[in-house]
Amino acid sequence: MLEEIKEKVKAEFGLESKGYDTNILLIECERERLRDLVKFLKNNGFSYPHTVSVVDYTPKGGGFQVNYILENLNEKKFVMVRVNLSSEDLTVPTVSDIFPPLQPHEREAWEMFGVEFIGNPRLEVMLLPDWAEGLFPLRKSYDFEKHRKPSKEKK
Amino acid sequence: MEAWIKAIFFPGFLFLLVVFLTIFYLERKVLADVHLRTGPYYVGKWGILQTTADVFKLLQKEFVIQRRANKLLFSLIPFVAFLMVAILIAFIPFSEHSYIVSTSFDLLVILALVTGMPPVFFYAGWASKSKYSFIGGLRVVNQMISGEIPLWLSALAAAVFYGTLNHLQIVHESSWLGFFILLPAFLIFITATLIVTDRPPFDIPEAEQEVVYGFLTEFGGFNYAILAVAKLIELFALFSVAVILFLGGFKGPILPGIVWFFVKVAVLYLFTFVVRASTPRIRMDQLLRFCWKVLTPVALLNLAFIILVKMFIS
Amino acid sequence: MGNSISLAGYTFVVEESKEISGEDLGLLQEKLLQLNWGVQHPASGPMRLKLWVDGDEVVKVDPDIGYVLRLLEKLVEYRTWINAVVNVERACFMDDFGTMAGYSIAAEKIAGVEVPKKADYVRTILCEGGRIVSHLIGLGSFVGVMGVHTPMQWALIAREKFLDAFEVYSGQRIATASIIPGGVRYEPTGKFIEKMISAVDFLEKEFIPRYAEVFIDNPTLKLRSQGIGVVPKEKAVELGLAGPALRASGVASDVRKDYPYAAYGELDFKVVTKEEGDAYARYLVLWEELIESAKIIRQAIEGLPEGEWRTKFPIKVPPGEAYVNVEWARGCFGFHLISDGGTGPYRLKMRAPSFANVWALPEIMKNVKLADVPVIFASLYMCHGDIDR
Repeated sequence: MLEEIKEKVKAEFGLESKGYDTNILLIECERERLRDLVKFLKNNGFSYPHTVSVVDYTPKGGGFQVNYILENLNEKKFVMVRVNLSSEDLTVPTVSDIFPPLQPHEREAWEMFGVEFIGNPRLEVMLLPDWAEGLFPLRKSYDFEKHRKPSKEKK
Repeated sequence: MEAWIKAIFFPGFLFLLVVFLTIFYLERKVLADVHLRTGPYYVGKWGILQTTADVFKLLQKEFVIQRRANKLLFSLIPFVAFLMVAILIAFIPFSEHSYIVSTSFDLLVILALVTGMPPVFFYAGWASKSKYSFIGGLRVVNQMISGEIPLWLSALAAAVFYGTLNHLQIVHESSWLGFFILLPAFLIFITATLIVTDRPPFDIPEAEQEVVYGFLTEFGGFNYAILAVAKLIELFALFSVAVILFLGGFKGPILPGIVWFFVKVAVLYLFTFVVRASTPRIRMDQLLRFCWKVLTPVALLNLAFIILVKMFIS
Repeated sequence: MGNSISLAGYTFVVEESKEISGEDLGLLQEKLLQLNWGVQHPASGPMRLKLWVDGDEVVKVDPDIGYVLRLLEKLVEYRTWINAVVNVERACFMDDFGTMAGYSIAAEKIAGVEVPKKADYVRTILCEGGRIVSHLIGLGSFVGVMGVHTPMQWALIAREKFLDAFEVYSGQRIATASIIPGGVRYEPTGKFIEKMISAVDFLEKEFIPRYAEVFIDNPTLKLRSQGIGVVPKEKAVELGLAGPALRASGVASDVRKDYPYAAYGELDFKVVTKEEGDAYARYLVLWEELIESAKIIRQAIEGLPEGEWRTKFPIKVPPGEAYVNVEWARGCFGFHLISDGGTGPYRLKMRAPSFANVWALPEIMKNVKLADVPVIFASLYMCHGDIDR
């Protein structure tokens, strides 16, 4: 099943993909082709979205990595679509119109990492308190000591 | 002088206070038993003083009025409600001689006052100026109006059967035959009572998980205690009426009348406790459908049936 | 008014860049009432549902979450590989074993550590114990939102027996920190097995018959919950529902069966599915899974092998990453774990099932009655710690 998808992706998009685990296929993709690829995967049975997982590789000299994890509920296989972003240009097109459940996941990734999902209808603070907007706490550069809740006396 | 003592001690205010504390205690104990836990335990022997302690706790609490609330109505409503239901008790004969007043239209007064309760509760919700209180108030009106018609019709069935509105006379004329003929009316009356006094499974106006506490949401301390007691008294009065109309009141062998009266009331209460512990609350639209499409027509038919029976007997 | 309903009708795709915030409602405000069903509400828990109601009809729902945010994903980065289980298990206190097992499996995959067979079986026993504990509360609170507190009290009695077993095993009743990368932390002693068997005995012989008699097939309960919050099969996948909610819509998705981990591959159990997809079906799925879990525990105890229960887990784990799913009590919990060769996780992304379910609420709660809001909310079986993490 995964071999088949691998061939198809190769033929359709010219993208290399490799096995990630026994039942996960990892496809690396540029952000320009992300929406087409995700649409293609949805039409090929990967209809159950799991999450959007962002990884911050800035201390390692890299940028940010956005992983979309999708599941095929009938064949019981996963596919992980990976987009690499440089830390200067943190924008990626949204897939929330293709996969509505991913909308809040993108929103969470935005508030935690500052990755902007262009076209997401609702990028606003969800989990964080209002004063923490724009601090992006899951970035490696975030410092617990520096960013504290502004106390009332300082006002 | 005699009447004053009656009104204050027996069967008046103090006696009723003890009765309500006991009922409240029993409710908690019975529910705890169904829940497989102990219930009140530490205050007094078998926790018997727990409810008293709770009432005193409520009395000590701060008198909080919400800023936007209508202050006059908000502080007045609990007392109005209490007064209205306290009057009900005056017309109930607990035994041959222990009653405060007895007139020839006892039943009428009780039904009329019970019908007067929804506006009071609605104002309680409206004066709070809180969203949940307001919704609770609306629900009370909705529910009580649809519950009161079967209540009236089934109570009237008994009145027609015995040909009088005087409680004492009804009790004296009651018999086994009357009990069986009035059995349908009795069942309708009990159901309507649960609806009118919003007891589970019809506790829609104060459904905790939907509208917090309905019209009682903003009340606290003494105000809350008075309102809660008013609702308890309403239920007690209606159960007493049910005992008088359908179960022969204080009649019974060997034991004194007052004991028989409270045994009968206790059986009805036990029924409500068990229902509370096992039946989920139903929805407003389901309740309205049940009231208007089932309960009211059946009550009407029942009244017609009683009139037929009455024709043949007399 | 018709215009305003379509205006307030909310879908994810609608280009509605600005959230309606009360004052912006303008015209709507005359007829629509905004209720804050939450934060300080008897049935909501630490989250808020903004409800716009038109009379008794709910027009729009908007969840407001984040009241119990602890940023576990960040805290994990400051811990060593083994210490991190303490943060991971706090995703939700009701079933902490599932999350610990998932994290441990992910860490073992990266490190290439083979876990002894006994550890797998003990993990299975603990995970199923956690599932039972969690489902008991789920059943109790579902009936509890309809004003009957009896099931909750009964469920707590049965739950207590399992907590006793966990206490014998790890010294803690709730946050046990007992499943770690490399196996399980403590030896499963005979006393633990004994306690577990007696707990399962109590569940099967006392709780299940007593509960089934009153609260399964209860006519009033059916009246209240059948046909409420219906999610058809296709819609459930489209909304991304997880766990019992997904299975109640007829999708047989169970990680235990699909991608067997721990000892589930060797045990015999069935995946509970219902076709109706309403609140009552979700309730029944919980109920039948409870019975299934008790059977799994019995099998696992019977097949418990001899040997070691824990292997050495390296202090430094080679760079790599893994995505592991486990069937947690509330659905499939995903762990995207990344190592950079250090002494602790570099990054952990937790895919929380309750988070997926809470964002399906705006779709499910369209045009329901106000009285159905708590029923649907409780039937989706969410945990607030899990939503916020």
